[in-house]
Amino acid sequence: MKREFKKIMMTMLLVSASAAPALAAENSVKQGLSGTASITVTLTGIKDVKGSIQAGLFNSEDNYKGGGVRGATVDVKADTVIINFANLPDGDYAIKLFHDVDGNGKMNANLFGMPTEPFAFSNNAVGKMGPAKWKDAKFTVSGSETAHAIKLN
Amino acid sequence: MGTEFSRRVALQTLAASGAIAAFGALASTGVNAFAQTSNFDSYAQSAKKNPWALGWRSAGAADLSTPEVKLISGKIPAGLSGTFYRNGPALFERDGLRVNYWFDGDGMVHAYNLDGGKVSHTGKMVRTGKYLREEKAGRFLVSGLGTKIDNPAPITGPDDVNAANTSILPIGGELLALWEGGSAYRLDDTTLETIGSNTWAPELQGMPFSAHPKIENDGTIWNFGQDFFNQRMIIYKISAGGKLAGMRVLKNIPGGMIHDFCMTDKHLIFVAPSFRVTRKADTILGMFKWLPNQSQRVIVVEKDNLDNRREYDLPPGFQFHYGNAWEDKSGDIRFSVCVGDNSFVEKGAKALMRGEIFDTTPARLAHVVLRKGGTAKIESILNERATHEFPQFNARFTGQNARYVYTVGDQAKTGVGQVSILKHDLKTGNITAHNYGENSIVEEHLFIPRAGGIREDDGWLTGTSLNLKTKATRLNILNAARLEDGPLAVLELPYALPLGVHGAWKGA
Repeated sequence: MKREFKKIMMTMLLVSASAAPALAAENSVKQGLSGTASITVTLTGIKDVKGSIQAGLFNSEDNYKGGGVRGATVDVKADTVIINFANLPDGDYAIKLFHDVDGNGKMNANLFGMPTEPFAFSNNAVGKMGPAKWKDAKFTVSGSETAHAIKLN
Repeated sequence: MGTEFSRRVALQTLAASGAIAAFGALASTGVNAFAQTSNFDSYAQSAKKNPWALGWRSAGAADLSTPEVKLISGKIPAGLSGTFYRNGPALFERDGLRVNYWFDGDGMVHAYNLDGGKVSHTGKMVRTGKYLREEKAGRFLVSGLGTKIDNPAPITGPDDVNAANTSILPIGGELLALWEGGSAYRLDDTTLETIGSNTWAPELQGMPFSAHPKIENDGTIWNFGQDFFNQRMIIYKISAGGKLAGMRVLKNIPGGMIHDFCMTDKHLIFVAPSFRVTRKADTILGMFKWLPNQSQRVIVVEKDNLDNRREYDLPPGFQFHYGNAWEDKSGDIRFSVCVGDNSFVEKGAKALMRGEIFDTTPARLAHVVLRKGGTAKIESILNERATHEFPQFNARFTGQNARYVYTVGDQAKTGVGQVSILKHDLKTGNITAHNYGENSIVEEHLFIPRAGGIREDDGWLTGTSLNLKTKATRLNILNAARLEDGPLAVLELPYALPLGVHGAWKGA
């Protein structure tokens, strides 16, 4: 289970790894989504002000298990970080993110595959011996801007 | 009569009968059985009539201190100076909820400092992340091994439920408070203040580190951590100074609950018992099932090449603890073990929290041989004077064909705990003992070698007991060569500590 979780986080990472060096929160595009909606994530609970936040955006149960639709990398300059996903169609979305504290570009895990860097899911959903489920992490986006708050574990 | 009216009457009737309160208590304890009283109430009632229940009373204070512990009898031997540390589950209750399982209590570490014939005592709760968060919340936030907590806080790894409650290891000028499912916690060895969780190396963060490290005569420490869900374990080699000297993940380790292991000069010996992870459940303990026809699997690993192993089968069983192990010239390995079944680990340790007695199968001291290139066999098993537990020996003889092993033994007439400390002479089969009497529950006694001593039994046994008459914890010191003479010294704290688990000695 933990292994699977690691795999998922790694897959998520691949999505965000294709991001151009992130100045603001603009992000990599994996699928040609377009629209007028946007998501502004306020991430709190950051303990070490260093490294970056790596976030993945998903819009279906299928791609939540595999690759996402957008990825974002945001440098950590304060104990709160804002992540934007723009130009999205209305719909259901979920976010997985982790704090790349040591800036090595990957989510560190111990030798048993358990994550050793802080992570979180949208809705602050919690998994049981693995990632949170899509049904617990999804939220609805409609209209122009959707604010979403996440706290790192 | 209208529906609304009858519903209201029904509710009032229920409230009057206390049924609603009972339902509330049930919901908050996670107890499954319908109409069962809560652990909290069950224990409180038992404690009124059963003196032994004192051993599982929740710690009343987070910090304890007695500058000079009262000497009841005898004299502290000259030459015995240092600190006797102990650890054990101590905090069992928060917000009217009592944990379901003995080993789910948060750990409290004790230091008995023996100096110049006087003894001081300090006790402190280990300030784990779990303890601090739950202190702040005023309730239990996370489920333990055998306790399910409603509305739990998010968990990101085993250390979120780490109770640091099983043993203690003096190392590198500090102490490690040991659990078995996650990191050890670092403590100051004088003040017992918690420094934080210990990480041997970045890739080992949050990995399990068992409560039974084994120490070679040069100070090198070996330990393991088990991942029973994925049938693997990690082996740690730590230098005498407390630095990581080696590690290895071993695969294909059957998912039986391994609490302890034993060690010869060349090998580490693990036994995966017949109590195995077989199913999903609300608690970790619930995932284990007793398989009465499942052989135990013995895995012998070479210290110099951890990938080199040999394996054996033993009859079905379960054990917490091992005595010494040694290897003869032909390569046959022999070890001592206190073997029983699942009854205590699965049921007895739950019943005690409710103040109830569950009739458990006694653990018995057994001696096992692993023939090189052959089979494994229990050569002898001692049926008398059980339950035998907390086996100890002179650590200077680790890995040698040692003659003596010490255990607690002799079941109390109440059925709860043991009343004696026993010395087993493996050469003659003789047992000598000191019986503390039916008012005592005897805890682990450590062998402390006398400086300059040559004889294997030249030293002291030092251990605690809970006196149910004075309602106080005692520290006892015996001559390891003559247990039958009774204690050389008995000291008594001005309070009763919850019964603990394991300890360690650090000479001055």
